[in-house]
Amino acid sequence: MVSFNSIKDDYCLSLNPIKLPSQKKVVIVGTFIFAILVSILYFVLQPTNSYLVLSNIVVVAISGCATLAAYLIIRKYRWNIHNSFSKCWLFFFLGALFWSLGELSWAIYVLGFGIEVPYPSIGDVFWLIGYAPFFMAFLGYFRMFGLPFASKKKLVVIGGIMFLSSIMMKQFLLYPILALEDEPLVMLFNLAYPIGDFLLIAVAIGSLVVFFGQKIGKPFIYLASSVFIINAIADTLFSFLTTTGEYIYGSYLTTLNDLLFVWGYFALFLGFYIHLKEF
Amino acid sequence: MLDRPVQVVLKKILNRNEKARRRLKIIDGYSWLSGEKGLESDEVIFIENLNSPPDISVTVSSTICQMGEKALFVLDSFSNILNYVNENLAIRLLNTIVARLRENNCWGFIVFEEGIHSEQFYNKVRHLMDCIVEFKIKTDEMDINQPLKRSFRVFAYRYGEYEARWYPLTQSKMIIV
Repeated sequence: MVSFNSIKDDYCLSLNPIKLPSQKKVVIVGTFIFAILVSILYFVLQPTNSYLVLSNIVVVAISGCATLAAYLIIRKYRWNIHNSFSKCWLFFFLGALFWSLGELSWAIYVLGFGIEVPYPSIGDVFWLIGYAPFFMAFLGYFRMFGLPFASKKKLVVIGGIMFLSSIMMKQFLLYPILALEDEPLVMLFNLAYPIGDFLLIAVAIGSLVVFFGQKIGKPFIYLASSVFIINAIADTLFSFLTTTGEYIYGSYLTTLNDLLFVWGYFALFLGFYIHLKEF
Repeated sequence: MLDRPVQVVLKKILNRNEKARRRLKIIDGYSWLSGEKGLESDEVIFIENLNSPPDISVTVSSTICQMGEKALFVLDSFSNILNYVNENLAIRLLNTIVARLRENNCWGFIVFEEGIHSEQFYNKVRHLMDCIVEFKIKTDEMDINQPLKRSFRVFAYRYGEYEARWYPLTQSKMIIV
């Protein structure tokens, strides 16, 4: 015969299990700690030769982790191109893959061929191709889950932000780049990055405004921030430094620029990982 | 699953079929009411609150996408969502869920309570669904010993002929609709 107390204990145990930090929390906190350690190490090793090896290996490893997390998500969603949700995540995976290929080819140029600043190179082609799937992924997500529930007020806010950012981009990015006299190929890449960043900013902000404060917003804060804040700043700084010839290893601005890209990949990884664990 | 604790639902389903666990996914929209979040596992996905239709929509889409084609989706009950969002938003949410089910060739059972929403809401639901099955309980106030009379009928079905009369529904017989 089962006593009432044993049933009560079973029920209480099922409702109040012993709480250990979940794997998700451990990974998120661990990523933040690792990001801080990497940042310190970048500045400590900045004047030494080890910096070149460290910075290239770290960025390839973290972008690889982000791609792996995106791969696990798309595997969970069965690689189904006919399903719009699965297709969205396929685009996120492709975006992450192209960007990590860009990082890998940069590292091969630097560590394998000894070219210190391989710009423009095949890596830039990978990075620029990566913008297209990221744009499609954000747009697909926004159309599927944002648009049906977006209020008029939110749509006006999105429109306003996009209008302001387009004016700012024209004033502070396009005009200065066009004013510089450089090789046509370099000019093309110098222009392509800010335009790609702007397109991503537009859809990422749209998604962020709609999803902010919701469960779905958590991965989007990381994904969008990695795309529109960190990456745009890093690209602009990189264009500025390479154009003015100040992209020199050992200088604080170069280290900061490299770190911005690394932080972007950390955020990208966290966005994918949180989605993988929450849904 | 929006109106019962996840442990109760799991126990009820697994009592019938132990193998079901491997193919079962529960979206728990109930636990957040008590502020308690159960143990995270592969078969249970938590919704942190029902105030946000995009969250519900993404969770449902993600789950349907993981299960693949021909899966069976049961939403019990949609009426609970209307405690937290207005009818317009609820209809938009229902539209997105139905679209996702159709896109994935899934079966879907969505439960609505009668008499607690506006007539306009029920009309929109009738317009949206492929098949409507109505259930009713009749009580005989004169005879207190008389058991409750449960019955059902197919109110509408888009893809074939059907008989719209009421059928008795008793707990002792299995009825397949």
